[in-house]
Amino acid sequence: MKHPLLLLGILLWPIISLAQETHPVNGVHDVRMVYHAFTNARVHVSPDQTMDAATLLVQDGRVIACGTAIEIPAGTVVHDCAGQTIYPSFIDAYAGFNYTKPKRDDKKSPSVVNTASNWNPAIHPEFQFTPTFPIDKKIKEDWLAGGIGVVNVHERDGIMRGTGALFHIGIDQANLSTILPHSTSHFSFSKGSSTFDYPSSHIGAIALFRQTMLDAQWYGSSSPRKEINASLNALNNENLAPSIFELRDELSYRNVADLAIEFDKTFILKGNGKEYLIREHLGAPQKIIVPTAFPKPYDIKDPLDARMVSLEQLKHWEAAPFNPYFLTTAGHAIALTRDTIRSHKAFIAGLKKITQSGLSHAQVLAGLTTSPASFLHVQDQVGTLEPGKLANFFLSNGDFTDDGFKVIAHWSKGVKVYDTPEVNTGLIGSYNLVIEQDDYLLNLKTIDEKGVKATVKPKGSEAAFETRVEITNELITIVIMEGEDKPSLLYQLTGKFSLGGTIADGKGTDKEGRWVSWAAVKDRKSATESERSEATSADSNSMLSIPRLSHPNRAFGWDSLPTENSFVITNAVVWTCADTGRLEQADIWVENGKIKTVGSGVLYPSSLKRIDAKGRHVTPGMIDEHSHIALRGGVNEWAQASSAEVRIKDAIDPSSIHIYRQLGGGVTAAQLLHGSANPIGGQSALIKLKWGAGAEEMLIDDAVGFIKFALGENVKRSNTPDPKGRFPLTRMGVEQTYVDAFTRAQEYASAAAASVRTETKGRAKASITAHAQRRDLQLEPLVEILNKERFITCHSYVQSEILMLMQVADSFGFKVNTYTHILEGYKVAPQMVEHGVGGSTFSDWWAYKYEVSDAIPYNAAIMTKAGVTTAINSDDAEMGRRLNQEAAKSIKYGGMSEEQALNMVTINPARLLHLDHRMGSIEAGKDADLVIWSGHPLSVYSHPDQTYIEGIKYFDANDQQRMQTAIAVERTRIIEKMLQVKGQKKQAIQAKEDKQYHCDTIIENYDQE
Amino acid sequence: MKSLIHIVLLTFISGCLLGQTPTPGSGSNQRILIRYATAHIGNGEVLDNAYLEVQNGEFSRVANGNTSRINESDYDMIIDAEGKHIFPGFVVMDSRLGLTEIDQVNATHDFNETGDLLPNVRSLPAFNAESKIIATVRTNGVLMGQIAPKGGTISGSSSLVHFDGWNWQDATVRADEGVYMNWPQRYRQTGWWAEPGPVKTNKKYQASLLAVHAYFEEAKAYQALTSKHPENLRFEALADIIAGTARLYIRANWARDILDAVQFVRKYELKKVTIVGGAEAHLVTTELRENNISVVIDRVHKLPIHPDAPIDEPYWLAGKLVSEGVLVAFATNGDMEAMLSRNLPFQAGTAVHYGLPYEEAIRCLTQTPAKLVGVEERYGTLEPGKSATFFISEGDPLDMITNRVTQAFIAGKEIDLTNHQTELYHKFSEKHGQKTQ
Repeated sequence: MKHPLLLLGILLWPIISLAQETHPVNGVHDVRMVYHAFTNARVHVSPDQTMDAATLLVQDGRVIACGTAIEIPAGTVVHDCAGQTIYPSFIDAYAGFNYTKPKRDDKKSPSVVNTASNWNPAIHPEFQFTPTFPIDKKIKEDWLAGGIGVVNVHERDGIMRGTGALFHIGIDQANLSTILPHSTSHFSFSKGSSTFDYPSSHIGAIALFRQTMLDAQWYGSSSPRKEINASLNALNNENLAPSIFELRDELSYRNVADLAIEFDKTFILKGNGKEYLIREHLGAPQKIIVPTAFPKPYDIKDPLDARMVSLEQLKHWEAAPFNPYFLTTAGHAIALTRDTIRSHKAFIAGLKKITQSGLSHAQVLAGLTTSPASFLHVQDQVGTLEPGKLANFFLSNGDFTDDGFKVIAHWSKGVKVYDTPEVNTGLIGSYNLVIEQDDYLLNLKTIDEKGVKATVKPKGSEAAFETRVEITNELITIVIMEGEDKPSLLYQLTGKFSLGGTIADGKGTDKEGRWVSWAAVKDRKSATESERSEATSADSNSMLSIPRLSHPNRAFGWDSLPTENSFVITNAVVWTCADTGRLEQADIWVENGKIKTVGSGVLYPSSLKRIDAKGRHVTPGMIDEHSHIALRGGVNEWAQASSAEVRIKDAIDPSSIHIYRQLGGGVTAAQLLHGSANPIGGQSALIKLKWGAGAEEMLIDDAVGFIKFALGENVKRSNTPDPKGRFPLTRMGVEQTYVDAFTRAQEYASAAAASVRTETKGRAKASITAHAQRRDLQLEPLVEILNKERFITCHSYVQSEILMLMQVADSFGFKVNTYTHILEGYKVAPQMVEHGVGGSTFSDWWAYKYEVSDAIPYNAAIMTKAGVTTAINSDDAEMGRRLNQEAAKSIKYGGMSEEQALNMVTINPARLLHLDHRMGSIEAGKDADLVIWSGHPLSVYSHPDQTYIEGIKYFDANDQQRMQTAIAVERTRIIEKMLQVKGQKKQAIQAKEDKQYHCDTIIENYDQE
Repeated sequence: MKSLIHIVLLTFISGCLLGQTPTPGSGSNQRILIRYATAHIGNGEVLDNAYLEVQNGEFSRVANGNTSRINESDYDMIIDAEGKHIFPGFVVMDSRLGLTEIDQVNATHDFNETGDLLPNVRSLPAFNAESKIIATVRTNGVLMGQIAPKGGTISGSSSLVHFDGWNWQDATVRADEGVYMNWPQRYRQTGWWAEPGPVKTNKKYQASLLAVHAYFEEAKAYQALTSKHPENLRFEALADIIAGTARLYIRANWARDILDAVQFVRKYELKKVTIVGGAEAHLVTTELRENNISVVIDRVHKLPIHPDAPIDEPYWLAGKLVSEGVLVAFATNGDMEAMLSRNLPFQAGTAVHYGLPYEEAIRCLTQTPAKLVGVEERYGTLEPGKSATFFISEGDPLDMITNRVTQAFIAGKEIDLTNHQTELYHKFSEKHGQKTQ
């Protein structure tokens, strides 16, 4: 029988169409209130309760009873399930069988079809996903074969995606299948099929989310309404359905947490499989839906090729199956999802892998049943086989931890929705076959769902005939043919097995069409052999050892974070970058991360750890005023002329290798800036490069707010092949952008004077009180500028625009804080001094675009001489490693003193960033951000020996050899493990690169990185 | 006599209109004496208290010791270089100087020809001797450059120029001395530099490799044709490479790509080959040495090629290669490479700090590149008979805090060390009432 399942479906059809209360019945009513009892089974009633030799009794779609001493009522169909296991149907809270990557030109996508809704098509919370029944048969059966009977599905498209539906995948009638029509609300930071440019970055997506939430609050309270907005309505009329937030990047957890606080919401997180890396940063226990797909081993053979795969990738391959374990042990509740895995076999293999990776069968089962049920608030209906629950269960040949685990049948709401042809492997073996008077040997080699492999040969002969065998319901068909190319028919036999498969007999026709009789008797010896071979199948259930994770989990990561922060450095040449200048032989006493005293002859406790720096130099940690390292999801929200609403702090990637490399270059703090694609960029993040810490710990807690502005070619999109006509395209338009923005900001400020807003440290919490005026996240930072609460770092090149912005600022009563790059600052240095703006410049870059034709390496020296507070910045992950050398170039170009040159990468950027009260110089009371140099800190013949932040040593040149050895050992260990993997498909080698953003970086598809 | 020179020089400077490149040097056949200098010969040796005599544009005497018996009136110019250092002009390899002026203005680009197999394309006629960038580069001691095309699989021929001259013909030191090629990459960087995608296995690598081999096979066969009609200009341009008289420069970074390139070199018995880039060359030094293959390091100040690599890997690469017997020269390839050429000395300085002996570093900037481009008989060291192409620095030119080139000479002619940038410096310092250096 080629299509047993099809036939089954036809047979089942009338059963399923039962009990449609509201539907008219064509014909005679057919209500079946019979019981079904599944006896002699091993039943996993719930994750914590398993009963052997138990009976499950169901009626009318629900569980009536389950136990070992169940009385079977009259009117029961009894199914003997000896040797079988019964599980409650798995529930997938994030099923993705319908997922196709959203396409920008898809006319049917929710972002196109939404009407009367939000301006931005990525926002469509009013969209309601409704499944199209019946679900494609192949998909349905594959999911049922994976044990999953209940699925929660939504349209994975956009930032606010609308609601999902919870239903039985095996039931074809919408009204019977559906459990909850609007089960969940869905969110992400991916704009999906939206054709709009905005948002063009991860930070833009967050800003859009926030503004939409604020709009909804305002919309809910405003009256009379000027518009009907279905999206905002949907957000306000939100039912109590749980909200699920999909993380494409595990680091987005912070953003979701911030949104949850800001808008008083609770989100269930949908992970990408790397959540174990942030488990300790998640704060309070979270509900997390985690995938069950894990990376394939890399196809590594050649040791040179192996270098392409980083330790980070290797470690993730090893640790990925432990993701559920790590999250569980960290106290989080997890639900497991098949997500978009295409084959149930891969899904089952994933489950098995998880049970080998720290979690018990019960824990995994909970992640598949009770946990998703409670996430979705349907634990009273599904998830266990307790009486009263929906009769959703499947029968299998064992536990899913067993080798060869297979779902035999799946029942939803008391109806069988999936069945497999019975495969009686007990028939495997060799048989003495007699046809009429002739003796043959029939060998049934394998029997599975794909069919039977068998041979027939004359007794005593080696040459087998071409043989085709089919077995269904203990009926057997045998076709025997002879010859190679065009075999001629010998026999067509049909018959039945009896006596438990030890004997078969029947009749058939020979090559002349005459009827013949045949019989076959099983050879007992061969039967025992096949049993034995089953028993010896390798035990692959052994537990895997729990991988060690480092901080961050890659090369150069810490086994445990360093904490020691008190010591004394002695006998060093100390460049204080303060009035004291250069001390030829001095000590620095550091206590609890702060500098206690500096000078010669410092009296310190003898118990204090002493670092002898004789012959070496110590400087303050360098500060990079202009950096784009350690960011993700784009550095430019370029789609609008102003992106004041975006916050770079939302995009910090604390695991970026550039952090470690810059520590190795003596940099301890940086301003991470928005790019320069628009006149008003985004809000900066000021961080210390605390390698191994989370993003929150890196942010400098008492830093004032900064914002990036930009002028020139990048802003007017001169070097963009397709500027798409976004205003402004000239320096003329740039001025008007500013005048307009600050005019709007002034109006907004006066109208919003009544509005109360409280800022708490780090995370903004908006008061949820109704505002007469719509809060505008794009204008608020500009109001802060007008109120001198936020400061501008402005990317700038030529003198015309430098003068222009100062004039605009003066006319609105504020000052530009810093001109960054400022390559023609030397032309207008006196005007800059008059305005009070500082300059942060490149040492010697020029000729990379037309507007830097007049850039000169003497710029820093001229500005300094004129009295401008001048810094040297990098804007580049590589140059950030050599800021000292860049500063030193001003000694060559312009004759700056050594102290002045060093100040340009220490105290001067600290001043420009309003951080000079705690960093930038070596003075008592300041943060112990220090670099011990091997020699003169401005010389090319010098390197940082050690780099300290707040007294903690984050880099030590002397550790490098040891670290390289450790990296090599760890790499080899994991590669060996990969090479030991057999029978699994491998993935081609590919190397992941850390991002290197610059000012003018515009990325495509920030959400598909 | 000396004062006359000064007047001449002053006339030059005042004659320079702002924004123009300096006028090329004049006054060949001058007899020049430099004395009391520390001379870094370029071959690894140093002469203290050296005197060097220049005549007819070349060194006629280089020695150390007493100069009291020298007759000052024999010279047109005498330079007392006490406490100063004298070096052969530094050479930047694989450079696009003069082939580009502004990185983001396409109209100024002349280094990337369209097409794939372009051995006949020549950089030399496109070389703009009056590039404003060049004037800022020689100020730091970089006086010569190998100007190389960058496009295609076979990019075309490179030439050595010195950085003084009215036009490319003036500037030419050796025309078409070699051919550049970009070796196919086993791993392909997806995305772009700022937003790198994963580095993926290049599925077309083997096919590209076969194509390169097939092309050379035919190029080789062509050379043996008795009648070369119709003439194939591309194959003609490879004649000297195949004959082993010109150098093939192969840009490759991954170790396995380099190994494939070495196999290729052996197969076609190429005599003169240099790997350019060579980020992983330190893993295959044996193969390089055995096949007499040198390395041009594309850039010292760059990021390690792998995230797990030692953070200072690009810094010690040169030292490691030299210590294992591989000839090394330097380039400043990559982003903004033309203008960053002026930092070539500092890149070598970094290499010195990370293990390259100082005089070896000087050799990598002078004698070795001269050897690679086949002009070692005339350039690359401060030795009698060699072109008087050199500079004098007050301090160590490899360190930014001491690099102060006071005078530079190309073929015996002193060159003007001012440039567009120094002029702006003076102009605006004056405007603001600031003193200049």
